[in-house]
Amino acid sequence: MSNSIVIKKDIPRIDAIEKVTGVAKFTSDFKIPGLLYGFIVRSKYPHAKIIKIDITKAQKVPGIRAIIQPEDVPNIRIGYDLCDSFVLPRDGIVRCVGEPIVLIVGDSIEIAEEASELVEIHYEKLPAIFDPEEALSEKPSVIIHPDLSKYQSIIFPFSFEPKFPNCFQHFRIRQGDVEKGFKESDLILENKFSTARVSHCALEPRVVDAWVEPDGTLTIRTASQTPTSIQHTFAALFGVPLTKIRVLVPYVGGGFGSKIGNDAMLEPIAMIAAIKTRRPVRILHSRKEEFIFGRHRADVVVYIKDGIKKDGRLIAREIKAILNAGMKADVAHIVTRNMAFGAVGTYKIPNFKLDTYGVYTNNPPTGAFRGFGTPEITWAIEQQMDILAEKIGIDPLELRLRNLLKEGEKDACGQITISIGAKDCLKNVANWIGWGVENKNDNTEWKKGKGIAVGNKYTVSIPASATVKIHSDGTIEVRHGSIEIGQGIDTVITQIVAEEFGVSVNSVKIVRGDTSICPPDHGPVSSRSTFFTGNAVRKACQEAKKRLFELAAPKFGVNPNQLNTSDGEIFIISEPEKSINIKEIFIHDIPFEGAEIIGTANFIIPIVPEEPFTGQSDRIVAYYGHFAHAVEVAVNIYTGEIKILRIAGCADMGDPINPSMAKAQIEGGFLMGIGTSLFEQIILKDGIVLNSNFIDYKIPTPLEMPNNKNVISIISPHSHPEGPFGAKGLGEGVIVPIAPAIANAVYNAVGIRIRDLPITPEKLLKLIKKNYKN
Amino acid sequence: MKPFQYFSPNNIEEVIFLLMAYKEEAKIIAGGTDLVVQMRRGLIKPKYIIDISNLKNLSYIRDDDKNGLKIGAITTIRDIEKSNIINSKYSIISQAASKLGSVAIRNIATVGGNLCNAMPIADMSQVLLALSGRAKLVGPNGERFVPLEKFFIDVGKTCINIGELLVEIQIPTPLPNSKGLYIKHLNRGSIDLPIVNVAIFITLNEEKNFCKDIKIVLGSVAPTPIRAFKAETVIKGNQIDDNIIEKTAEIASEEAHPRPNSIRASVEYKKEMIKVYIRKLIKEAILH
Amino acid sequence: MKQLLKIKVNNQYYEIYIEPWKSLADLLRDELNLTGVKIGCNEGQCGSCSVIMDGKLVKSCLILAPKAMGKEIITIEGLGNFDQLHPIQKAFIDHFAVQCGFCTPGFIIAAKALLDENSNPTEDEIRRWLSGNLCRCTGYVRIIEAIKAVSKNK
Repeated sequence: MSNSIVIKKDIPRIDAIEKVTGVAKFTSDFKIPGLLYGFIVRSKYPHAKIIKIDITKAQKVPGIRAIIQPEDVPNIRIGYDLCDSFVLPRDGIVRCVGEPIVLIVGDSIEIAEEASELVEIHYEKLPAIFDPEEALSEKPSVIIHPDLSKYQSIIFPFSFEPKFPNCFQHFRIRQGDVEKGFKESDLILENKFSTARVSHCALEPRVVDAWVEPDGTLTIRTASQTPTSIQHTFAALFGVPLTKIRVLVPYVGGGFGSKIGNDAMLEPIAMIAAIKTRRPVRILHSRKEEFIFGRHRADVVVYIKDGIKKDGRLIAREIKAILNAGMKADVAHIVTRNMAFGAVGTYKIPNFKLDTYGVYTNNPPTGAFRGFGTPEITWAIEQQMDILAEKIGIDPLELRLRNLLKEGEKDACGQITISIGAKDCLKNVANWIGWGVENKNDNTEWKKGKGIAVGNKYTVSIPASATVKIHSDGTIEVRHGSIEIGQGIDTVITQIVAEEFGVSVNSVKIVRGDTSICPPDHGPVSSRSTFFTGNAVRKACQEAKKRLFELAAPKFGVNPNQLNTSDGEIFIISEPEKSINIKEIFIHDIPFEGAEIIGTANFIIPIVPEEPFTGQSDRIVAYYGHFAHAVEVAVNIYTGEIKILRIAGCADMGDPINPSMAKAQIEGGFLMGIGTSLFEQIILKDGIVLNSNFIDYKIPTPLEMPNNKNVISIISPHSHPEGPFGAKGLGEGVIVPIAPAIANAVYNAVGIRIRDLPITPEKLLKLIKKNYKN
Repeated sequence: MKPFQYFSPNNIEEVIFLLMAYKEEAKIIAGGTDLVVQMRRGLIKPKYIIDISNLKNLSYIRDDDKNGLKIGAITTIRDIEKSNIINSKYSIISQAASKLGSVAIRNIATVGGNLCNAMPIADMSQVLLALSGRAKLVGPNGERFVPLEKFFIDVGKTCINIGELLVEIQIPTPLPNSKGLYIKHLNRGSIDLPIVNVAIFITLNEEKNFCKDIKIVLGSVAPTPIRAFKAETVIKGNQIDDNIIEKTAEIASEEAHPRPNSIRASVEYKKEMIKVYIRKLIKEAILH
Repeated sequence: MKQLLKIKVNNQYYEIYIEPWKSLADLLRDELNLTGVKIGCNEGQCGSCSVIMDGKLVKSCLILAPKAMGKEIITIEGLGNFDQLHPIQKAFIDHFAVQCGFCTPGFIIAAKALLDENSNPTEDEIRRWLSGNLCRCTGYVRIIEAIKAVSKNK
């Protein structure tokens, strides 16, 4: 790659200039004449029967154009994966506080809000269940989805646990014999850990604009990560062909998993209203609604039991995790399943048993959150590693290094390990933080400590496709199906195309965010964009070039495979002075043959479906990225406050296509990692979210991050043979090890281990007063 | 936000007239940083908004040895933060001002608004109380003065009657060897609401080892900012040593009665933080 | 009932009729199409709506429209454009300080207000000043680098 033009170079983001000048458009920035505004009336109770909805007063408010009630929505359950919800509660049951019941549509948001206060809903309260372990019972006091066994899923096989009526997903991994392994161990350790419910807090709130074109095409502009899933949902809901559904997605102000599928049901509800009123309808979440009904990251309880030898080798590991999904499983169905892959991607463990359970409760729904279950399971694993290390008297870094999977080894799922940079990542961050150097703890108030952790993030295999067109002036247009959510995919694609065609990035035009034009891709989930979309684009470039050379070859009298292109010229590889300009292949912008010079390609990684009761497969995931963090903290022994003094993050994300952009992701990961470790928690009481604004739900401000000289982001390249130019992905992995690294650092500082997130001063102070000796 | 009628009077008489006309249905807005949020959340739904930010003669900072400090009610927190007068002679006020939200908030939030909003977490309320401040109110019956101890009645409630307007806050000139210190204990950042806040205003002897007088104000631990009167009597008129400081801190902590079930912190933690910060502030006061 | 508002925005004078319960952010976005002013929380906590009003940094979502009568406003669009970028805008590009871009205008405006008042701030001063702006993507690292770079060049 040392001869690359733009790959592995810090090319400025191509969308940066629009964004710094404020002209980049996000969904709510578009003006639509005649736009109506929707306001959602939501359930007051966590579990109730709707006896009656009285809209007579609301209807009379001047300026009200429509009121959508549960009886107006199609009688089918929809979802991105597990289809377990109606658009509005058509079965007459509400299952969480904040669940949408009625949509009021008016000339202005003020009018709609005013009318919403006049809607009278009569409920019959039903008993509710909030605790996931209580809900995960053979005879729970409340069954949230009585028809669970009849549901269907779209992407992953639906594997609910018939034994537990509230369990929508039970995933298993079995390898070796854990009981035998425990018998062979010198030490057995059992612990319980738990994580908190957290919210994505993407700066752009969820928003949709829906309308029906004159030809009947259902059109929606939405901040979404997965436009094709919306197409399919609409096709199912409205019985309309895919070609009569158009999903537009401009720039998205942050995804992090919050904008996957019909996350908050906004798209279908708005579309129904648009069909009814025959006018465009906008639904824009307030920040409060983001907190109360934007799907959270579920709180997870993890039980972990390890058997280890005196020399530090892990012999057996048993994990049980329970995910509190809330009233809607949908994406949580996949999170419960896939978090298992986070537990197998890093360490060599000959005897492994894992059970993950996804449970319904009457809490608000949960879904995809950056990391997709891996941070939660890593919270447990990486603290357990430190506890083990202390008990058997081995340095925590050394213990990890001894147990890492090696290239070519089989993991606990039976997959062959390819491209694992975990060792280098650990060594890099350990080196920077000064691992092994004693802390000078002479300050009476603040005690310092260092912690380290390693983790992984798998990427699932979902196919991508792309189309590339060569224009008569030698510029290249690429249509891809991913979405620019801030991760920089447009820039990465631009670099790939520029590299393939030997042109400057200014000669590349990106077309995306329109299902009528762009080939299907599924969208930026699972850290897949660079690998899947990038590969599809690269292949499409090669197809386009093939076509170009076929058309040009007769002009040179050579075989097409003797040609190459660069800077808008086509030339013979062995005699580069013999060249023609691309425009010579066209007459009046039309190529000699065909209407356009186009390359299309898909990129598919075939996987082997896992065996249902053991989770074994030669390949379940497309690839793993590997990540390590080291943190130095200071703990105040009088207030329990925790300061992050220094933090290092290292990512093995293959070979980075744009190193600065990759490092910027690592730095962004610090923020979400620190936030979810120390400050963030959705506080629920009887199913009600108590902290639904940015003051009470605390994401880090610039004051919570250490000064720049105390922060470092490192890329440790480990080329992946199947990645585009060796690249993998890192969007999610960058937060995975942070929470346990901080917990380990806190333990190193004051000898206290917090096992339930977040690590708050209050929790810490209570234990400091009990246990800490200066 | 519910629609309302908006007025922007040019003089105090007009303000009073409107207040008398619309009574409980009217709300005064100065900066609006608190009010607008409450209106958006639907916590208050005034039919009439009376904007007093055009009363330019209510924005000032004046000080002289005889009359003390006078701050106009619509003086912005930012102006207070940067005022030379306040920084040199009444620095505890600018300490508190500098900790109120972020710059963008301080540029439009006003000291009058902070007081009239009457939140127990309010920064300005505490330090002005610690400095023995009093409020000047103007109404249909003329003007009256209320010491800040009597100004705050409950969460969100002050002693201001219908038709009255807060126009000025007065602070007496501090005695020599007096020092004010303010601390705001936050879990995070600057835009947070505090777990506790503590203001002390202490008058020492020349050697700084004897407490002639002290005012201790605790915030976020009661419906209004409160004076820790019992704690004050422990240390006032005594030599200052570690024992006295410890006892003062403990008593102050006992005087705090935070409400249970706060999502910010438990009763125990808040009380513990009161102890920690009283200790800290007194120790700092005698150091410099 | 709409009220007449006279306002100067990005060096242009406007007369606008607007309801008093709309915010300055609504006015700028809806009446003047200055959608660079973003609304992230509508409660003055995230800073995406930051503008400069009469030379001072303010959160436009908290300012009721009538309060902007006679005021001079600068939004991100007034700082620079494609053909001529403000140094802060250029620094954000050069330092990779932009990801999803939603918070970006607010940060750039806040940075301008800072550097107008203090042309050589320390990193601590920068962080304190920016503590009213939230970002979920960048971790603030490169935003601060960009601002430091501009202040060095001044």
